[in-house]
Amino acid sequence: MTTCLKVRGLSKHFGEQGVLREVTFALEEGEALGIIGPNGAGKTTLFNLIAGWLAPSGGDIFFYGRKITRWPPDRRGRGGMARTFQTPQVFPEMTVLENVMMGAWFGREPHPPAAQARDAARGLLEVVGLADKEAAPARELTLMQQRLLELARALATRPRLLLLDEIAAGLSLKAVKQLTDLMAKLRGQGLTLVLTDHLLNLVVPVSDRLLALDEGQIIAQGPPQTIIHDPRVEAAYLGTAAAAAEEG
Amino acid sequence: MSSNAWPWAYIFTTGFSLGSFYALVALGFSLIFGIARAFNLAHGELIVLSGYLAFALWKFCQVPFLLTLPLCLAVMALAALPLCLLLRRLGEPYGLNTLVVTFGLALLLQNLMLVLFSADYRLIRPELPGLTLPGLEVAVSGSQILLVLLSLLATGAVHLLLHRTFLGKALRATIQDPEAAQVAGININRMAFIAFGLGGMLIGLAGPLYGQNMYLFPTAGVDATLIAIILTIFAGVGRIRTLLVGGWVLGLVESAAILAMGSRWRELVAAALLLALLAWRPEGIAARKQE
Amino acid sequence: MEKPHWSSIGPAAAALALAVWPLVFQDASLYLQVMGMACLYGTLALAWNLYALSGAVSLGHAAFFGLGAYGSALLSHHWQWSTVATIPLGALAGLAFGILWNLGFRRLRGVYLGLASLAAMEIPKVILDNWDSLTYGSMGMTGLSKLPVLTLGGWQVDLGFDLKAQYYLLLALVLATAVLLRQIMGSRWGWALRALRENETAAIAIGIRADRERARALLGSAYLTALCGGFYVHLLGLVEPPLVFNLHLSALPLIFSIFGGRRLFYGPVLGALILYPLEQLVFQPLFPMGHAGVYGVVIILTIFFFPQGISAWRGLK
Repeated sequence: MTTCLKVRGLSKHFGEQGVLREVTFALEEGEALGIIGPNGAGKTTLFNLIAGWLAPSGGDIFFYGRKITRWPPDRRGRGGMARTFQTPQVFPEMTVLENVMMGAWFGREPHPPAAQARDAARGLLEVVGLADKEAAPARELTLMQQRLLELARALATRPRLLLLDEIAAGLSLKAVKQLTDLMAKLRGQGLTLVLTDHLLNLVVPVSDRLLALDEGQIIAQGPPQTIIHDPRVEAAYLGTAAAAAEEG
Repeated sequence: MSSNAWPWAYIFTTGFSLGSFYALVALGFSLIFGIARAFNLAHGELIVLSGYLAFALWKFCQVPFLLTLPLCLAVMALAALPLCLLLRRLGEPYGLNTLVVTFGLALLLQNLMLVLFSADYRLIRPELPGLTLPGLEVAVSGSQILLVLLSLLATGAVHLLLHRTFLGKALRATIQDPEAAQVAGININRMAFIAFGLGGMLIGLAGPLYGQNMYLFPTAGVDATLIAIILTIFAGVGRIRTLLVGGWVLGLVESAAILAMGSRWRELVAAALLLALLAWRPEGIAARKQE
Repeated sequence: MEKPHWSSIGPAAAALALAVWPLVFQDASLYLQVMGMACLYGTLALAWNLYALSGAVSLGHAAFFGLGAYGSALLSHHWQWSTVATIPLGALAGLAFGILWNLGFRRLRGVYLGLASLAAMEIPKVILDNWDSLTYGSMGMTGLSKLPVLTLGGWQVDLGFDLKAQYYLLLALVLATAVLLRQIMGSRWGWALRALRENETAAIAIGIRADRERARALLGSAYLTALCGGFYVHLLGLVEPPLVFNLHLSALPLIFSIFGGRRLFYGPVLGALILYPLEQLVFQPLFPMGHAGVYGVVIILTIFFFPQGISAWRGLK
């Protein structure tokens, strides 16, 4: 198997405060890795370090054997990393089709000509179920539809690694189920995934492996069912829940 | 002034009086930006308009100069209110839209003043007694004294209003976080209205003072707007003491620069300072919010 | 992403009308002059809009205009080069300032960029105003060489003094720039700029080089603006700092673009061709002094009532 992503001794400090300490893990091609942890555990920081939106204070990131630690996010995008955001980031005045087409037209190199990009975008809109919204401006979509649109745009870049940040946040159970099914379908096509999920309701069925973070360190990793019942993970979640209950 | 020694006393008195006035000029802009989130690029033009109003009253209606101050103050406060109502109707992106609309307003006012007062340079010369500072051999004119006195008085009054009154508390809350202020039951639309009213009063006061210390001409406002922007970015909104310090620094740098290089480079001082500030602190004003 | 072909018919018909009317109406020197300047301002507005495509609103494009004007004027005055060479070479001064602009303002967005651009114009202005030995300071330079006489297959075209020839030159300039903008807006680069304007975060996520694409847009915009400055001084035959570095020149391209509409390639030209003649032919006789104030009114009304510009009318229904 080929190693898609390797993270070695990754740390991040904001001033004096260490948010992430010496995180090391690897991801095989075709694997789906879920990053879990209570609020403030460092999930989002780790995610943004991988995607290049934050620069690490220490450690290295390798993507298919190439050291990409200092690459800016746009270069990672052209190199085959695609991401989505907790708050969907769409091009509001462009149509749904144009949004997805942008992913194909830019994204991972080499870039296809416009006509080919449009065909690819239409295909992906079928996959995510937005084909009937093709001509609507993206700003008119609901949260769920914007998530799907962002997902389709990310897929249109033909990513070698797809990073999904809290893709289930704020969605109804029914919508989460729909997303889970969609992810399963995409996984079947050999997609490599990194997901974060605070509530665990998407990440557990979709992931091959979970990586649990607490206070900036990996406290456990392994198959989803093992990890969510791991006492350390339960304690981490309970700890923050208890603290929240005390404050509330 | 001897040619080989630096006339420090002169630089300091000029810088201090100019700087105090700059703080007054910036205060209205800063309040309107901080509370109503509107950039008013016509700020300087409104000050110059107020100056022309005072000039017209003094020259053509024989109104004593000191009486023009409250008149201009009232007129400009009233004029600022419709501006508030107008800007309130703008859509997103609000900041940029206010910038473009007030840019248009500035252009309109410049031309209006050109029609009404022609491109000639005007100066209000009231009969005010001057004095010489003992031991410094620097003559201070009456208009300079009035300039410093009223600038500091107005700045101090706004400071007291913000920090000693209930209304001031609500205004400061709006500056810091308009959404939180709204949740706390503050009517931020009313706060914006008050900000424009206060800003208008400060503009009204600044106008006659401008007209009796510097020449009025239709495009004179651009400079005043630049100064207001510089000081607001430097100090952040609602920080009146920092604003005053910034005004003095700018006044001193300017009067020193004029002596060193001649008055033709003066415009460059303000522009270069603004660019340096923006480079040093790109989101200057916004960055203050998080503190 | 493709527009139906008939969307080009309107602009093409308008271009044809602009080309034909001087042949029909004789003795229209005032109109030739005004429409010629409207074409120059249309080019200026198109150039401004190239930068605006990336989402930037500049209030300081007079800096590029003035530098292009002085660049060409100085080359022609000190070396007596032909204006055919000095205009494109002099415009490099605007390009150079664009590079500085990029270095200084790279991190600025939105309102802050607008404020910085407002101040940026002062720097070249004050320097040129004070560099007496090179530029004659605030005296300026008069008697600059006019545009040359071209010989096209035995046909003499005096661009320096024949108003009709000047009009056609400026019309060609604005049409060429409009076609250029049309090509850019339909290109992959144009879409990258649009993506940056609509959502920079999303644009970066799909691999668009934000800084590079925006810098290219600015440099292109700066050079085109500087070219306009070069044409302007040689049409007039004189230059002085307040003539080419003034708020008015920064405001006009913004007003024409916003009024005409920034989203269609011909929007800025439309704005210039409507507003400039309106100001010159209708308001100037009415208000000999403050006629430029009409632009202030226009921009305020536009932002309130047609934030997308008048060319968006067609798209509404």
